[in-house]
Amino acid sequence: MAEFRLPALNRVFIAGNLTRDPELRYTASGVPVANFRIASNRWYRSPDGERREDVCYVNIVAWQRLAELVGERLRKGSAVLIEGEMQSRQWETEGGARRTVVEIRAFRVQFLNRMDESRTDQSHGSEGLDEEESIVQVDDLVDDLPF
Amino acid sequence: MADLRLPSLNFVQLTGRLTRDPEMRYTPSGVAVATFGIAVNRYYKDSSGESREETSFFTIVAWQKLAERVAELAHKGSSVLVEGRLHSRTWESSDGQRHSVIEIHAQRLQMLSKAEGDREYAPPPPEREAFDEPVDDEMPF
Repeated sequence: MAEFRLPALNRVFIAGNLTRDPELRYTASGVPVANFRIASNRWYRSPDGERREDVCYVNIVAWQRLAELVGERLRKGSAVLIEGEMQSRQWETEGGARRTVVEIRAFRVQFLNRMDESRTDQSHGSEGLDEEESIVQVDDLVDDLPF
Repeated sequence: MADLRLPSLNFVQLTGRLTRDPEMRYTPSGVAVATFGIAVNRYYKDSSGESREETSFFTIVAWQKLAERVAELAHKGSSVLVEGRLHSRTWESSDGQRHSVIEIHAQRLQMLSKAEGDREYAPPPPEREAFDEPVDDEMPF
């Protein structure tokens, strides 16, 4: 007889750079949703002592206020720290094949770039923001929409 | 101004149930690799306040000692806590299309299901129930 229920644990922390500009859309009911892809690098030593690099590419989905800020502040190359949950979605190709997409639903994004001097547009990067403002999070996970 | 590098940060923690028995393979150099799928449930309230459940499916890859232990102890339906790293790879299907796949490479696994009556299992003392995968990677410098 089970004494405990399985704890519902799902948390991911990942840092990386955007591989392209984020896409900001609005659902039929007007909810903002942003999608972007990041590359997260890892360096390690192979058994023969050589330094190797391994890159993980993953899609990030952000909702509501977080999505809007992502759309405003992030561009290809931006550095971010993402905190969120893993989710998978299934879809069908035109040929009827089933595919699964694994992605991260972000509830916290920290914009890591300080001012990018090559840009004249000051809305990029987080120069001028204090530490607290460079972190954006969704406080109320209860309102999270499924898709 | 602080001169920092972007941290190499990639950490996942999940609990779920195996959707199939672990599959054990060996690489050409003899390294044990076990692969299994897990179903992870998410409970939330939708915009009208109704309780909902949503299931996501992930592939977990375990290596070496961790692979051997999970193949031995876990089976379809087992509950597990996985800690590890996200890993993406691309593969090409027979029609030449490139596909991207994300898997979780386990660094630590905790078997949360107690054994069924018909399996021989001597419960180890709690501090040994989580087996740690030796972390081979170093800080870059």
